[in-house]
Amino acid sequence: MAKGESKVSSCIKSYVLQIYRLSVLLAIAWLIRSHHDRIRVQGDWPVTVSEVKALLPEAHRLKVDAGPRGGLEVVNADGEKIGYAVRTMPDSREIVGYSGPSDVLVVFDAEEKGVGIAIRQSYDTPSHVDDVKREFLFMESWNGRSWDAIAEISDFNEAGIYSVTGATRTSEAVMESVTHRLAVADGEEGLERAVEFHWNDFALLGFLAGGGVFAFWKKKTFQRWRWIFSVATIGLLGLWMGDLIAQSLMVGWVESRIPWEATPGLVIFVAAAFLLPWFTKQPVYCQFICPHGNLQRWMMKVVPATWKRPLPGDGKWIGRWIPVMLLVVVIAISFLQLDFDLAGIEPFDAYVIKSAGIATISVALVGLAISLFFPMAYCKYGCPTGWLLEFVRKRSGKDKFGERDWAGVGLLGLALVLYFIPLSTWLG
Amino acid sequence: MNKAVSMLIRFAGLLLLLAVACLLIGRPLAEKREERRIRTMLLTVQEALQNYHVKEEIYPRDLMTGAQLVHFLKKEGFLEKPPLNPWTQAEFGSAGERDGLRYRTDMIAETYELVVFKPGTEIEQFRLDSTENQSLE
Repeated sequence: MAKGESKVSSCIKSYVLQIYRLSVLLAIAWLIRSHHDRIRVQGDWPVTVSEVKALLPEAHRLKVDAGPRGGLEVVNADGEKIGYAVRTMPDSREIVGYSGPSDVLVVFDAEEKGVGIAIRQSYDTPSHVDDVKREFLFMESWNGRSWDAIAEISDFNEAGIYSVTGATRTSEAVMESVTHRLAVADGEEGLERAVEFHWNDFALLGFLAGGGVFAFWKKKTFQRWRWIFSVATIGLLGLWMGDLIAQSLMVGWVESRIPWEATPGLVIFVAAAFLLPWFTKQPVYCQFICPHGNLQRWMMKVVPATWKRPLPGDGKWIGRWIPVMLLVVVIAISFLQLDFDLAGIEPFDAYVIKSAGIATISVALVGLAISLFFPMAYCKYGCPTGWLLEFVRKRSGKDKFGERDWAGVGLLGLALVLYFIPLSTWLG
Repeated sequence: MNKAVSMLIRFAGLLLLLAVACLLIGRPLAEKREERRIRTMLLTVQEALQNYHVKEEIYPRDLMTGAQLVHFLKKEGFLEKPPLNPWTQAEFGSAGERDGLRYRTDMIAETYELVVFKPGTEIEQFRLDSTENQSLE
């Protein structure tokens, strides 16, 4: 009875840990995404509650809307949506007044009727901008008009909105910026995206299926053909298609959006790389599909056994932290939007020989050279992507909260710190 | 004893990894911070230039470095609080300081160009002018 109970509790513990691991990755991904949505919508000069309050006094909080309108939901103290606010920049950066464009805040109430505009920041001549700001008739001529009505304006005179005398070009630029910004958002809203499968999507699904078959069908007569699949992953998947799962790819997706309609095969491929080991314990991508892993396996077979060196225990322990350090770098770079090409920290982009940078080629060559003496060294001690795939992989036997799980807590903690502490603290 | 040595090796290893991480992030972070300071300085100088143009109806005629432009605008009363030199984080002023900002106008002083070069190079980093690049967004 006790043995049965312990088996059940061990099983529950294992499930809880599995859910925890996937949740950590999803939470980090969500934080990165939300952070980048915030930057996209708010830009360099984030709209503040006090700015909106001047037009909508009950405003208490602003919520980023990552949708096609790309604005801010205005929420009152009770948490109810009472309006919507958008800034015209950067969409309106080409609309120049007397000497530059202006960033205009447009605020709507809950019924999507305009309650006012405000010029937030301007590259235009300050005195002209001040003239426009002081012309209440102009500033209030947007009030009571709906989003769509403003977006559709093509003739301002006909719509009853007149430029400001003495600051004609500045006020016209403000008018055009407002209508342009709202019309662009409406256009985005109408965009329909259709899923399109191309030959390379089918090829990726083929590699995924092949990897799955070799991972799960252990029959010897079948496994002896694995070398052909392994060579195909290096030649076709790696050198020809260049579709390797890498931090640069995943971070790009998380920061902007997953291009499921443009490259559905790649999206399924990446999702399966995480979900297969999570469900089945089998590291299908790392062990069977990854071209760089397969190349290291071939090198291991080619070099004499006498070349191989055992790595001391402390070396192994330190090495296991290398991918974590790289993930810290990846998270910091993504949150702080640093000018650093993530492709350079992994060897995968080196397979796209034509466009590969020196950093990625160096990582690939050094990794391969080291693996001549320490078999599969890059996979074991250098690969941040592999670390993530291993992090979510279901464990055999008794599962417990281990070193990797603590590292997961640390990475999530770092993401939370970078998410909640304003960028200006880090960037000055 | 062996355990203590092992702990020491591991600790040193972690410190080394931390140092590598700082090294990887350090330079792009410093560049980003400098970039933000440059943008703030550019906007302040540009606003002062616009005010100068409103009053004088032309832009300053001379070709100027950042320090020269800031001093000029301050002297003319268009910069109440002059911006700091983003490269040195001190007041613009001393000769030979790092200063990548260059100002120029056209023959009839109707347009302006503020160009930021990476100090000591001809690599253009930012451009703010009255004709084509009118915003930093």
